[in-house]
Amino acid sequence: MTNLSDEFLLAYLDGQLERGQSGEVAHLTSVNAEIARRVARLKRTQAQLVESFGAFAREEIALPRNLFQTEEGEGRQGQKGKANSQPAAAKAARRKEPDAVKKMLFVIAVFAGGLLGGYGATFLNAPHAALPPKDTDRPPAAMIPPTSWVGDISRFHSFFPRETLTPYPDAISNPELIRFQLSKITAKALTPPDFSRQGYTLYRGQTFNYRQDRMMQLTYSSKTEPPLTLYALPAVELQDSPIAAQALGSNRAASWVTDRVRFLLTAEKSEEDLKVLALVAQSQMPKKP
Amino acid sequence: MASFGQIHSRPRDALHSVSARLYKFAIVLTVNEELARALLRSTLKALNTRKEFTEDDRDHLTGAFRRMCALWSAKLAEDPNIHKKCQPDARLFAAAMPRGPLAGNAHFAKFIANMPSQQRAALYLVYGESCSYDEAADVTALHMMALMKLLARGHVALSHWLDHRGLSDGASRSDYDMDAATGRERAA
Repeated sequence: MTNLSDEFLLAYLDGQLERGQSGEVAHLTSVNAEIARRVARLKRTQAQLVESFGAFAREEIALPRNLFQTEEGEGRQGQKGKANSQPAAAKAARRKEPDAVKKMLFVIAVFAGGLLGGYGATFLNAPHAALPPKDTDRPPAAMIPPTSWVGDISRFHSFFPRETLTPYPDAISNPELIRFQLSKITAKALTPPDFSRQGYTLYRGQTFNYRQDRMMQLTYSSKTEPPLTLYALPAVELQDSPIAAQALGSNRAASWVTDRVRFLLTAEKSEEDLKVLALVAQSQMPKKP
Repeated sequence: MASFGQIHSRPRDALHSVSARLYKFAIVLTVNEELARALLRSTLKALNTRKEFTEDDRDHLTGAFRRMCALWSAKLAEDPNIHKKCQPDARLFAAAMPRGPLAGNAHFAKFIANMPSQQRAALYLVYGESCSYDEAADVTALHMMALMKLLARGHVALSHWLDHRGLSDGASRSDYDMDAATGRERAA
């Protein structure tokens, strides 16, 4: 019985134990210094609590007024009050009526003035400009000339400075997530091409909108070479085409269409190098059944 | 239905006489004068129909405390942020330390005010209202072991507070000591 909890010792001090138990604890307290110390500590706090709460319990306190006022009484008072105040309220309401009408008229006048002075004037005076064609009037992606998409994407790529295509040392790529996204965009079970033999590592995959389609940008980095970027997007109405390298402004790019997917590979490299890399990428694409 | 506003019945007188104790308990629970008044009114309204209420009956007083505690718990469950709207007022306790080393100690009053309301209520019932553990457990709707833990934690917290303030020695004077026999007498 030497391993006594604080709760048990407190119950002993508060006189909540049976006489037998209490005697045993008292005996232990006299022979065990550790228990005696704990009991003494609890006694101190007990004395403080008895002193404080006891004083609070004994203190004279002023009760709130109207403590026993019932709902009935309140209700009756309320009704009486209502009955008395009804004519006054009616008078006040009647007095308020013209004010409310005036306020309403003022609000309407301000609104109408704003309408005529602002939008109204513009509507009446401005020449009717032709509206741009609606989305439905524009040519769909399938109607775009096959060569234009290469120029579009090359131009788009020119907005990426080299620094944004170079990963910082701790950049973490998630190839599985990139693969999942690529397959989703192209609607094919595609795997990002592996250029590790050429010294490139895939470090980032981003998705963009290109007209009505989604487009994926895969960025590869190398320790010695400039970054390499591959764009992949669906090509529903396009026929397969071989690799074609071209220079578009300051950019060089290699593009091809395989199994209704458009690819564009671009880097600060010669056209021949890009063609070789494009061939490497193409060789890794799944063959048609 | 009896109406306390009109008929001076015996239960009403009994309730009136214990309302000061109930009000103090409401202050202990809420630590806010406004909330305590509202809680007292709600409790008295709930006890309004209890014609059998008598002043000297301990069970009825315990029942009133229990009712108040239950109403407060329901209010807390309904609005857990009630103390953000109605700030606890430790001054309500500051006046209750007329003697001893902590007389008028605002920090001690604040310490009491910052306790969880259930713990403060349990400590008040045991040390202020001299309730037994059974009664305190009944009022706070706690199991006996839970109540004992709550009390013990209150003691430990107070002990740490006293140590931190360097007040342990002053509080250990012999005139504050109470032996187990005295405790039993109080509990009886």
